[in-house]
Amino acid sequence: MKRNLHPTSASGPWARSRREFLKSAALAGAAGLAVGTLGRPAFAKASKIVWGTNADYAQPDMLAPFQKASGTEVGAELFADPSELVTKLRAGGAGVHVMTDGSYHSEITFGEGVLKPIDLAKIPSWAKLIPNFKTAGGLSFDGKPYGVPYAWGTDSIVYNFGAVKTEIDDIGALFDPKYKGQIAMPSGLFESLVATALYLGIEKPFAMGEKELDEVTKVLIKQKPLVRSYWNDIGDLKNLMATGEVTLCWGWKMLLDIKQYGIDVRWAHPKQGELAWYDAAFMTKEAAGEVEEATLAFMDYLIGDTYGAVLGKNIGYLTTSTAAIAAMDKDLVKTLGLDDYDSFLGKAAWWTSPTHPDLYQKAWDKVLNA
Amino acid sequence: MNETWRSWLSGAPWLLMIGCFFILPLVGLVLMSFSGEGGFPSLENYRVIFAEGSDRPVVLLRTIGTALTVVLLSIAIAVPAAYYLAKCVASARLQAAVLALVAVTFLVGPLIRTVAWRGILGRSGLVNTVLQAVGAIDEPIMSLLYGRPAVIVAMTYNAFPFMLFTVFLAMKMIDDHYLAAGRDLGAGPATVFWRIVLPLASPGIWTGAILVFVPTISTVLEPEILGGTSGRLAATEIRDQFFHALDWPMGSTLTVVLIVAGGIAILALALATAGLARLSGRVGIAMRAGAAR
Repeated sequence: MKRNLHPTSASGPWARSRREFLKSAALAGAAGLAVGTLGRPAFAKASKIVWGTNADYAQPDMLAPFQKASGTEVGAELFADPSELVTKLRAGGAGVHVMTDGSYHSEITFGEGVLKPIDLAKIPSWAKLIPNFKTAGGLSFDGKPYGVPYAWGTDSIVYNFGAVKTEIDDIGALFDPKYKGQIAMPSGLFESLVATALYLGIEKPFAMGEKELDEVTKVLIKQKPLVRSYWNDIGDLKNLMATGEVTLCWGWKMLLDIKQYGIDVRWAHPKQGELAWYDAAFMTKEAAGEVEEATLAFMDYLIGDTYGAVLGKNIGYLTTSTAAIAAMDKDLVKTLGLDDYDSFLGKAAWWTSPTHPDLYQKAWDKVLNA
Repeated sequence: MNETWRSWLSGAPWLLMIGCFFILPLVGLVLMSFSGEGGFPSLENYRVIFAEGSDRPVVLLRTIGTALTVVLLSIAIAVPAAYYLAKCVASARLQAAVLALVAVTFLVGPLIRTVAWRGILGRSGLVNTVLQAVGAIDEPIMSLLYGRPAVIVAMTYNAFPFMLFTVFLAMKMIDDHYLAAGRDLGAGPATVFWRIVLPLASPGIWTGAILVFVPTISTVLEPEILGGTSGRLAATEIRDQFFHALDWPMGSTLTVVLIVAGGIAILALALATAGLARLSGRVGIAMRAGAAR
């Protein structure tokens, strides 16, 4: 769910005073609520929690086992980009208790002061996580754990084999005039920049300086006449590929869903490498009391065997849970590459927050405005 | 309590509402636009926008140009339609039915209406399918979709009812006796339209122009869904600053600049509409004078 990486923050004294103002307003609101709820009996457990995430993760059949077992309803606040939710949480009163975010963005979300540390002792499934994810960046801040990674995967070239009629294993295909008008690139701010950096062999695609970004920008501007459209979300991309508007793109694994319409869509493992990412669940500051307990139980569910197995089956994403892999159908494990993930992870670049987000922002603006 | 105080007091709730929900946010926006790296107040954001080599003014001009094009197209479509409906269709029921049909069509919301254009203009969309079926083209016309023309078409489609309803109302208010008198004096339909209908309907056209222009410069839907690689307009840029970059001061500055530029464009529209009304009036006077001689 890596979308729109725009990690610059509002800065300057105005931003600080605004934050103070919002904080005071939130406190005043919280005080009002506290007065309103005085004297009410405490509930044994929360009847509902709200998860800020995207629609694919919150499909009813994926949440039903938790809801049935715990008696806690999980409401979904859907977003295409975690920044949208962060903006709401920062203003206060978003009503969201747990949110999905990734390594590429979680540090920014933490910096906005909307997250709450978690007690890993209350998340028993943590012990069965694939070891690499326990120490992954973007989950702990100031020495305290905040997030549990529950899904991961890679982004790469996806192509309609029936249309291009050849196997593709080179990112250069996205810049090949042969495919003019058939290419879609992501509009999520940094993914096109990063994919191009991989193509150009830039060693650290998330730590590019001005010179490297200039190089990437030039290539992307030159590519524009070849591109049919910049896709906004995965639904948009599915539509573009399924209707034949494009035959080749830099995309996400969920795009393979369109195979069900008889389209021979294939995933490439390009020689330059692909992008690896994970999505994690983070508790927000709006989770308190019995809601906090229910939220922690839900986070445990997300990295447990039930959710992990259905995640792969429903949307083709990979679970971080060894218990889930063990519980999954062996053919599905093989199809998803979970039996041999080290082979393609070896060449993959891991998503992180760019070291110079303002420069990335300017570079992408330049491409879009050209 | 004198009359002045009483009138102020009776208007207080509405003034308070306008103050709280319109003036205060605008003041906040303007103040925030002067917040930059160097502290407050600072002109840094404005400098960045108008710096040499900055692409922001290009996007701004593109946005204003697109919105003005949409206004002109809306006028071109809505004015004849409204005239026919208001003055050539005698049945009030039929008039109401046509307007209701337009209104009902628009109940589906702008997202669906915009996405629907993909089905019309796409590679295997309605237009290309029909043209290929009749043998007019061999290959689908790719430039129909994912470019500025598609954005302008969809924006016009989404906004023209505002023009249609206001112009229809303005034309409906014109006394039919004026038209009859014009015809009695020997004026043809075109002259009647040009010398009588258009000047009298110009307030409706002007109002429609504002109603079309304002939402058009602030929409993000059509450029994102149909714009392809060339669709970025100012509203998308502002959205990105607020929701993605979380750079509220820059977002505020871009908004203030868009409001000012939009205001200038609206002024230009007002002058153009007034000029058109005057021109048609003067032509009318000149023709009348010529006919008298």
